[in-house]
Amino acid sequence: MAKFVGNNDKGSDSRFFTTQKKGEMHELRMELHSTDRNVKVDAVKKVIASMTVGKDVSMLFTDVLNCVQTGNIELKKLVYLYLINYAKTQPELTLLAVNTFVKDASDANPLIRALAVRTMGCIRVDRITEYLCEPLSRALRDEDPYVRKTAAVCVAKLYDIAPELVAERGFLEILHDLISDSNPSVVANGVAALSEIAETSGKDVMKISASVLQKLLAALNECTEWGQVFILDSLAKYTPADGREAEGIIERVTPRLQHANSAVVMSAVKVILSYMELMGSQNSDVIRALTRKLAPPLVTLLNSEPEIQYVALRNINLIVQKRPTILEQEIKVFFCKYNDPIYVKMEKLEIIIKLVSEKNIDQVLLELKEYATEVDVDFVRKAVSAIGRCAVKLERAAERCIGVLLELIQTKVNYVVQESVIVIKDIFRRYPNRYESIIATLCDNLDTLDEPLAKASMIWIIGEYAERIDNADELLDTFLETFEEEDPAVQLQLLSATVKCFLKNPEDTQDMVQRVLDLATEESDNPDLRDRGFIYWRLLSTDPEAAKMVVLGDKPVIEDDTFKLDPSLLNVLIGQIATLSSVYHKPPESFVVRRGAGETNEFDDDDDDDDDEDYEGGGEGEVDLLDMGGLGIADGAGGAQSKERQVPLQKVCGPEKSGGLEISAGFTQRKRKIRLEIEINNISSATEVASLAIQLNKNSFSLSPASQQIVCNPPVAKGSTGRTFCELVINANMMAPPPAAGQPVSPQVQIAIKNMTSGTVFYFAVNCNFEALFSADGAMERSAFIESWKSIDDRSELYGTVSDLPPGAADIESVQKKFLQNNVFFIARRPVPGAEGQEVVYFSMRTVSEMEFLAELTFKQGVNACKVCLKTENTAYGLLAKQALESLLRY
Amino acid sequence: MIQTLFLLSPTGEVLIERHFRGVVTPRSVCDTFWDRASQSVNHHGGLSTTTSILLQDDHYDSITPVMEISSTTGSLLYVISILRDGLSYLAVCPAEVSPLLILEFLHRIADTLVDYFGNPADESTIKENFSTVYQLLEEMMDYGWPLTTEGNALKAMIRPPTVMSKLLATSTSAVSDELPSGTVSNMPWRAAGVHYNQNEIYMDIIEAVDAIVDASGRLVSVDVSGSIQCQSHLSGIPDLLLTFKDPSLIDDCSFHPCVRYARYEHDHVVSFVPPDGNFELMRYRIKRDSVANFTPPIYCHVQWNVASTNEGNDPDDSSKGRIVLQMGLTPSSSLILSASRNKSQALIVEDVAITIPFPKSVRSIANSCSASVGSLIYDEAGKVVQWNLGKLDVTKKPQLTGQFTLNTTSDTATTSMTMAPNLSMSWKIPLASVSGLSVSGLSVQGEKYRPYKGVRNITKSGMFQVRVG
Repeated sequence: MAKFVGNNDKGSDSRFFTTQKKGEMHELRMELHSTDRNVKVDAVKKVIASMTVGKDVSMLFTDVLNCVQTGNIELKKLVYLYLINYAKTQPELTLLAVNTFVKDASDANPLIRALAVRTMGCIRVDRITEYLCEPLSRALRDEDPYVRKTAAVCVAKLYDIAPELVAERGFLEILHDLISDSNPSVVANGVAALSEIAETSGKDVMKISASVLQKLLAALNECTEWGQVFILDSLAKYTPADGREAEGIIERVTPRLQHANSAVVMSAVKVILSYMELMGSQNSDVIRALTRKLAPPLVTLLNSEPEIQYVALRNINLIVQKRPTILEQEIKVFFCKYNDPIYVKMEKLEIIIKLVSEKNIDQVLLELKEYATEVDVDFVRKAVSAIGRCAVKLERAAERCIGVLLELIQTKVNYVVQESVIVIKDIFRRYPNRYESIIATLCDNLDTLDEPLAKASMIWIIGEYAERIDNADELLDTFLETFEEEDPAVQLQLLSATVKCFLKNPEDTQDMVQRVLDLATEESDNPDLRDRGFIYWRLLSTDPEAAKMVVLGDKPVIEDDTFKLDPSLLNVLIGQIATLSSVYHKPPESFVVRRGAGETNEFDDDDDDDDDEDYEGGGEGEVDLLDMGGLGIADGAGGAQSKERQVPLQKVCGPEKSGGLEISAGFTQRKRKIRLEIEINNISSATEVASLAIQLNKNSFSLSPASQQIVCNPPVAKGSTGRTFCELVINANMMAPPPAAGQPVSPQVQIAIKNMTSGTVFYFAVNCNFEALFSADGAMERSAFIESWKSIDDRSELYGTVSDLPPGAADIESVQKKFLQNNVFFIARRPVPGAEGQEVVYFSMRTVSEMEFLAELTFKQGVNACKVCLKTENTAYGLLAKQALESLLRY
Repeated sequence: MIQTLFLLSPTGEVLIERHFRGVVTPRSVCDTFWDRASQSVNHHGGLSTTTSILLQDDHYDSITPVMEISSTTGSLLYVISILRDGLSYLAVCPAEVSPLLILEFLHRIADTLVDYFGNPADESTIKENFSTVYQLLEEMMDYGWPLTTEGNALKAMIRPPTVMSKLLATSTSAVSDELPSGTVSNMPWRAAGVHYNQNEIYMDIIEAVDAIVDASGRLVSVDVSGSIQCQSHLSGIPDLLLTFKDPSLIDDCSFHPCVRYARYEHDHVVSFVPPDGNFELMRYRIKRDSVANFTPPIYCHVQWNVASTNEGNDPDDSSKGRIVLQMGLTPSSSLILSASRNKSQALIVEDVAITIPFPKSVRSIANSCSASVGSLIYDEAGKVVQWNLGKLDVTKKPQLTGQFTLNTTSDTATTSMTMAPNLSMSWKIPLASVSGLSVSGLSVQGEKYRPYKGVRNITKSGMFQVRVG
């Protein structure tokens, strides 16, 4: 035993973490079988230690499992811990433990009973679940509350694995009964389980009736803090019948505001705020009294750990928007402390801005000024911006705010100046023509500005107040020198500002405006900039007066609406206080987990993906290749090759992937049957290829093999080439999901082949030749053709020219014949009026999957080319049909 | 609820990993979390408390305790985290959840670990006791829900390691075979059948002053919050009644679940059956107007000067700075002496320490300061100096003087105003109450014995900050 590093470590668990040498598994196995209980316990501990550091100790499964037959609870617990971890990967072996579980579930010791039920619930193996129901049903009625409370949770576990079993066994009803259990912990877990089931199933299993309501309210006083959270959260979802009921419930809930657990407090706040909405205005006294009661607990939350403060502040942010009166007197508690974490400071600032008023603005400004001298850049910037927002919010304090901003600009700290300029622009927009006196100070700091937003803001100010700045044109001129390097936002502002400047003072700025317009319209490739440049240019050249009205017109006054939520969203979020949506300020829908979302068929999403490996990702329609090889009928010899058109086969799979075979494949139609032609070139496979099994993935054409077995007759020996085929049928279940609107379908059909002789499985994809799918009975009546042709929107027409046709291929008669062989049916033919030597021919075709395509081919005498126009309702396949026609023409 | 719980070491290594819902959260979630956390440590380039080894309760600062991380399977996971004793506790939740519940629960786990293994419960502690930690987690959580979280009930099921059990190494089991009675009683917090030969209960009323003092010594804000920490060794099921002299001082309070709130609301008395051992009976906040006249017990005068030395002649632009700090007792502090009624006796101020976070542009702080009393600790990386004075002795006129050199590059064109740091000060005054809240009586009912009762007041600094400049 090399693990005892030194005497100091004796007795501490860290020795289990020391590196283990070779053969440790064997050593562990010996120890697991030891007769000495302590050695055994130690061995299991070591196994679990390895498990926790990510080592695979699953090979010890049976050995560990053997240790479960013990009266020692510690050992049992450790073994159970191990079982839960590996049950998923070793379901067969876990079954061996079932007997132990069932036995333990009726042990005399309640701890063991509970442990057994609990562990069984954690093992998500179907066959274990079957055995779970009986012990679970007993455990739910166990005389010992510890077992009952464990069993309550277990129902939720079972619901996750097999909801139908839960319904069948009536476990939901038993859970409802547990709400009125004599033991508070049982009540809590019962409520938790019900809420969870309600959440995941979307069903109202937690339905609160009058009697349930009373039970819940009674349990609220009794149960554990966590249970109280669950109860309060379900109360928040309940809608009281009237104001009186609401008031009654609120009365029962209010004492929870004094709980030491912040989660209880916040959930109680949620119930009260949600019900307050329902109480209406006739209860204004009650509401006022409640408002007073809510403030102190909310303030108290700010004495908690920073993480809790953060969540509390995000919620308070909502609360002050909904009911500003609650905390209007408490602004001081939101003042930032130096060692608050930055995320708390940022949230506090938001709330300060929401609570700022004429009464406290002086104090707030002192604070914000203080924050602006701190070291954290983001925080400082937010503080500076907050000063600006105060100015925008409170008209009477605007001047004081500007005073503070000017002081801050004097510090010359780069980012403080830049942020100040940005907010001063907003102040100017809010109070036009009131504070221009400070422009001079701003102009002194032009050199400091290097951020696009700050620059753009400054340029806006210069343009807007050009007539009051003596050297406005010079200032703009300096910016123009670097016009091309500037950020687009700055460029746009420069353009507008220069035009403003020109309109106010045309004499001196003629050249400048010309230069800017040139830069914007000719040098720039930013469409926004060019558009704006052209508009200004046209305005200035056609009607300067109109330009003045447009460019120098009054701008809408801004308000401080930053970070203000839409009232309807706010109402929703108030009902969601103490949840993730209230932290993110997003509606609750964004947090709903779609059950089984993880099972989306990846394969379908990337039809265009050439990576054949994806095949393994597998769709539902896919059958495990190993389950194949049923009664395949090797009908018809493979060599039935006629004189008909030979499909060009594509090389689809190299020998490196398929165990030494080179595969070429293509689709064709013979005797009204669609076939996949396969040519096998045995390059290096030692065994003869005699029999193959085939499987298709879902594809755009619903193709599916008629038989999974393909026989190569004669077998393809090494160095030779053989040909075989597989008949295909249309199977609607094999249909791949349609592509995104407007996108053509993928022509690819993904195929898996198992070489039955060698056992190799390989994958490849073949592009489908669409003509192989044209049905032999696709002929159409002339009148039907005309009607369809008219009914299909011209916009879904597909055009193309097929040029460089082989000699004679443009002869209409031969085309007609060729097409007929391939199930493209002739409809009509007529000369084009007024165009000498041109003729149009109409064809129709229908695929075996009942898709119709109408084609109009235009030929010109003496020209080896043809214009193709194709119309279809199945636009996604249009392109394929067109390509099919083209390839038939070329043939 | 919680899908997976991770415990990360201070270097981001996964120490503990528990999956509760049959879904295995990939460890890549931890990697993403750790990347963001370690990025945020220094990403502002400014001083953040995280970088300082001197400031306790460090945090990642700018990463929020609730964050979204998309897992490798593409689904969104919500990671709710806390940082305690250098360890990151991560709860991974797949769906909507009450974040406060999770945070409280994570803190409860951390508290339990401290309770079991002593303070601090850090990396080495976890590694030494990993199987107990696993057993605890197993007992505290089921299917990602809080299961048994009361210390008493837990201890009845899993014995905490003691010196004795360590000596005996592994020969004894850490798990009791008996079902603890606490888990089944209607008072989950109290174990049944407790017996002591010596019945005693101690209460510490600890008040913490959160305050911001500006450069002129004026209070910007002050907030007093208190907690009552108890140590109870009482036999049987004692029913206690605690009464205050002036309960109207209390603005808002929150109680341990054992307290009968209705009784408090009605009579302003605290009636409860205590848990066994250490617990926090209640927390409260003092009404702000009751402490409006508070004056800090000690003052701290700071002189902070920065002057550019070489008028731009030297390309290596720098300025010299000087700090002088003087401490003393405020003669007319409003702190009420509760132990000795003799007001003339000077207050004893203990554990005095001042933390000076220097600006990042200071070149070196090592040995830049000297103090007439106490010791100095330097944290060069965080540019923080901590001055520990211990018990404040005014006769020695404590003073700290320091000189330092600042880099002043053009883009941090700084003035002395923006440079001045905010100091944080800590202190403790035993036997004093800042609010004047005191206990008028503590009676035991339901049991025949007469226990020894000890109640004392302590006032200490909370977040006590002194602004300079």
